[in-house]
Amino acid sequence: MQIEKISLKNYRQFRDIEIVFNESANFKLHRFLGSNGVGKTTLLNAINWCLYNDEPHLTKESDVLPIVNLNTIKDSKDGDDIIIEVNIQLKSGDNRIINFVRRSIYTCTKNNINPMFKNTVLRVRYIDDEGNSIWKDDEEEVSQAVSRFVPLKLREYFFFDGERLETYFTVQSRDKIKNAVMAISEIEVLRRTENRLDEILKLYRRNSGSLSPDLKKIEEKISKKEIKLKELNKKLEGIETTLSDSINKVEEYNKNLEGLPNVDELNKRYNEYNDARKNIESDINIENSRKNQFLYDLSKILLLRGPVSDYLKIIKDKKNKKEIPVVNDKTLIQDILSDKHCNICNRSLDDNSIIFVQQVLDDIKLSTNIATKLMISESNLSVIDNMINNLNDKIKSQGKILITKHKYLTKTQQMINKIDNELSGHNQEQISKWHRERKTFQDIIIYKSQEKGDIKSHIETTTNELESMNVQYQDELKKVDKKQKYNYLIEFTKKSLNIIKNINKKMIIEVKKQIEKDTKDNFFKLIWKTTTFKDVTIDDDFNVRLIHIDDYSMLGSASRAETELLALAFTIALHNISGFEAPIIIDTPVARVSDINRENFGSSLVKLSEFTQVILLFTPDEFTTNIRKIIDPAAINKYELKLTSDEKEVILNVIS
Amino acid sequence: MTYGGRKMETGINKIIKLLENEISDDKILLDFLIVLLRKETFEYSAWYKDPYQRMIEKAIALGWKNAD
Repeated sequence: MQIEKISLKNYRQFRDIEIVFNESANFKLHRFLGSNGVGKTTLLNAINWCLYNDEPHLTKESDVLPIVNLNTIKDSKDGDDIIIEVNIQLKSGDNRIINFVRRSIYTCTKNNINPMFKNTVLRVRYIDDEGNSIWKDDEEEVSQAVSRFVPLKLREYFFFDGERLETYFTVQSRDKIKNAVMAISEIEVLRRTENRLDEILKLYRRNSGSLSPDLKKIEEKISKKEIKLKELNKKLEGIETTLSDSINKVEEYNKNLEGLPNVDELNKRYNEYNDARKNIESDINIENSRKNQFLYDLSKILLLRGPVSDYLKIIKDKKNKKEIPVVNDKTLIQDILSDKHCNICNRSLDDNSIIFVQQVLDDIKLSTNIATKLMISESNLSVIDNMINNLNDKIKSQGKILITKHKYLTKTQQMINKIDNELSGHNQEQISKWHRERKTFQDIIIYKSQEKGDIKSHIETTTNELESMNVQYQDELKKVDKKQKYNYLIEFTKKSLNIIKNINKKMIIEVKKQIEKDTKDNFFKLIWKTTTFKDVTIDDDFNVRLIHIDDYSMLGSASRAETELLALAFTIALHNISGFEAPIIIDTPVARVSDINRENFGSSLVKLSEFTQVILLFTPDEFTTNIRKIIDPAAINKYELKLTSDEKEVILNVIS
Repeated sequence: MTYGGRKMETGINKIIKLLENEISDDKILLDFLIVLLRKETFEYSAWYKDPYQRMIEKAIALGWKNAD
């Protein structure tokens, strides 16, 4: 069904306007442009008012104004009836026309700016492909006609504000989505039926208890077990909800933390480096003290170095010259002196020679003493010399240790500076809080997953026990229900209940599969990125997950435009499963999307209009030149909404 | 195929189709469940005013026997 025409009379700013939605073979796209307060949202409200008799998108400003056009009120006299009418004309695929026409009558009163409400009626007109028309105004029939177009409970998936797409997958919306899927696929009908049959089965069992005390006992046991099973299932449902909420929360935190430093980890490393720096600094101090001690020790003996070196050199020279150790043949000289004859030159000594030899003997005594002293000094001087060299070596080695320590200190300081840089400019407290909270939810996921397993096994055991009790009950019933009064009733109800339960399970699986497939198909048909996403999955709780090419769930970190597109793809999938072929009307469709993604999203809406009628209501702010370039070539109708100079009526300009 | 703008193979119609496949050999039970589901959709609330128990009793009176 497509909207072919909407006529509005005396409805708020729309005094008398007819909007035509032409057909096209290519794109079923129609766009409106209008500043805030001009009437875009009023148009969305007019459609809701006509079909459902309410105005869900009413702003505070409009809410205080009468629903009747202000100029019409001005032109009316006291007691005049004013008719407000919104007529939505639809055309089906097989060329049949349906008109939904709501008329409300208001009476003008002299003393009241707000005319008095008199009555409202919604009528429906069917025109077949041969032009035969028939009006229906029976309330139930008309309401069924609306339900076959877009049921009240599903309207928000067809006529909505762009903001809705943005908040689609938040935790708060999850239950809404699940309920919508249940409503759209009419699985909730199966649930209602199941509950009713279950109640009747219990009633029959209770009544059958009067047949025998044993039967009553078994029935009571069954009732207790059923209550227990119900409690367990409720608990399981609670766990699944918590699990699902936690998964979504983790994704939300992932999105918040995207691109931000892991402050806790960095602070931990910062502290480690800081501790290391302190240790190195303390080491350096110790090594410096050690070096200073060596220097001090060296300074004490350093003055000796010259003389020691000189003496050692002299000794060395003397040694080299073989002057020391001295050859000390005193006996020979003493013999020469006593014999007064030189055995070496073999001549006798005269008096002068004797004096000379005596002198030589005295000299030899002196030189030997000096040489002996020098020899003794050499070892002591060498100790001092070694000490000086040793201290020098120690000072050099200490220098090397200090250089290494300083290098380590510089490196550590660089790491500290790097971490400082990474952390600077970020709200560390907030980031740390997000990390802590994410960790809490990650822990909940682990804990609840284990709990889920335990409960499931408990449910299985209880179900088996219940089944065996039921067999026991049936056997006992057969024995005591001679007239087979309850036997048939219970068997029939039980069989009905089992079938409904079965169908329910099958429907949920099928619907989930279908929505998953359609959402995925729609998303990949519309998305502009070709290598980022791998899959779209939907879990048993109808949580939608967008899978990155590297196999992780990334809905939390997808851009706003990508999230909105996924929501749109999911909405179209819901449309498909619902079977309602109604148009999509989006107020401010790209207002929350920025940059290049706005254009990408705009292009996706154009693509969408290839298979669904799409009506877009833009504000000038969001309708940028680039968006215009994308939308306008595809749009069949381009309208601009403006207000008259008194700001009480809408003027509809057709843009060619 | 559409019914007043809605595809036939969706929602309650799909459920009834599944039901027909599930219990094609038990007409009394099938009719009972279809009526029950229609009743729960409120689509034809005026058509089916009988309470559930009365409907079950009617089905038994029609000679329903468990084929299992």
